[in-house]
Amino acid sequence: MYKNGYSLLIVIFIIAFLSATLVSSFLLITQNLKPVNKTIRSNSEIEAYYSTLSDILKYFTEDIKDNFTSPYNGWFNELPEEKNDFNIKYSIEDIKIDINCINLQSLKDNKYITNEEIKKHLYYNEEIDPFIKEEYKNKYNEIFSVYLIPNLNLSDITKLKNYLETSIYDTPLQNDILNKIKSFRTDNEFLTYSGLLINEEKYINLKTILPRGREDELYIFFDFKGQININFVKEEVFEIAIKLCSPDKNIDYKKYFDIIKQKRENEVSIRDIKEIFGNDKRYYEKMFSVDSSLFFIEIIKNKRVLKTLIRKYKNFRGENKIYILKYFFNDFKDIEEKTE
Amino acid sequence: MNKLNYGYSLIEIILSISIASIIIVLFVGITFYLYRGFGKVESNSVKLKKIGQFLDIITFDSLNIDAYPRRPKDHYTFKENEIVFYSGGRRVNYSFVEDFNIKIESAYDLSSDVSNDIDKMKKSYTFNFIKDFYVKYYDRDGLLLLNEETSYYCELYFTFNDKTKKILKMRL
Repeated sequence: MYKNGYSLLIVIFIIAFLSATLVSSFLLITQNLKPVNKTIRSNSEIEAYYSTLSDILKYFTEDIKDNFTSPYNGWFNELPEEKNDFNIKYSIEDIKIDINCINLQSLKDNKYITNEEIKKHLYYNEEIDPFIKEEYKNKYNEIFSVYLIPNLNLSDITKLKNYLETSIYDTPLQNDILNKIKSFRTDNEFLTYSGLLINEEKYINLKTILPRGREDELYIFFDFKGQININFVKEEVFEIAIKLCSPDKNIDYKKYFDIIKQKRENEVSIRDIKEIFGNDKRYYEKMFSVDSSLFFIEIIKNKRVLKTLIRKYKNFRGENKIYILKYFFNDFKDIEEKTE
Repeated sequence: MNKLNYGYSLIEIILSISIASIIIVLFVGITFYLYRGFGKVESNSVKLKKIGQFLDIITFDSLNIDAYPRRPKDHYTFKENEIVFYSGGRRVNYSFVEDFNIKIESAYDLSSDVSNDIDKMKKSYTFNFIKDFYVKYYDRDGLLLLNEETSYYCELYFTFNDKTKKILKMRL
């Protein structure tokens, strides 16, 4: 009996030793392979984010003629809030003031920006923060943006030069574009000019300078009409915008904004800015519009987000097109922390 | 007369000692074998971990390119073995240095969760499992660029020590 007892003990000891060895080996491997698995999983997830994005973009290119079904005013059908198990969020960017190209020094009552002139081109909305007065730091993200497409009727020429330097065009072409714009901008009081100094004809004429086959870039990277969608504009933005364009610097902006508020309360979309400004429309058509063309799309799952800045435009053949200006791929919590 | 060997015969004792010796030899052998195996597994898994980190970095950088607004052209470097671009608001530099090393100054910070905090300093990493690294630049129409022209996108070619390749297409 003793002999059997010893054999059993030895067997148990060997099994225990082997088990301990295997378990520790397994733990060691899994510990080191965990980040690798995460990377592999993350890479396969990334593909799903991008395929969902291309599904969503189809909604933006559908041509819905004179059908104002969308909360973003016509142009496309209702947008899905869920797709392929992803949550989708949309936000409009062209309801803000272009801090890179509009010279805010011309404002008589400059409430938001510090006296320091913003000479450099800004690349992220977070970079606006140092130029904002302390009391408005919590809301500057709703008022200003660095991602807007410059409006040739509103942009400061020096700032426009900075913008062109950031383009993919070579320096001689940048100069040609700038000189052409300068030749159209004959009036120094371009902000308060009645009508459009650069009208559609002059705007389209700019395409002759652009590289052959890339004329659509005019619609992607430049604009000449009003961009701020009056259906969604915030009061603070409206005040700045109207004061920039009005010949009367003491204009009572509330008179107009009350009409907008009333329409919003009645859930009536504004289809023409004339409904707000009447005959004064000629001063404000360079600033306001009733449509949007610049959107952020956020595709969210498991606290990760693919955020995309897209420009919607009609090409020379009148087809709806989308151009992706920028991607952000990040953890959702990081972005939330930054925007709070 | 009492038995000195407590009832075990000589043969039994010899057999027991032999079996015990074999077990001990096996025991030591297995231990040694597993120890060596562990070493290999550990070094391989560490290498895989580093490859994972490397892939994380280049994926993050390529998915957060500052395409709009873009920096002025002279802020970029487009060379065959070196590329300087902007991602997540920060300058990123990938360069191939001596002794099969790739040096990466990235927008991605491995020490914390991914962040696009523009105030954070860029991080520098060196990975020695890259045998070769080169970049091809293309224009908007997909034509290969041979000189310092404005690139619309590029392809990053990373060749690992085991000759496997990772090609990453990146918009600039």
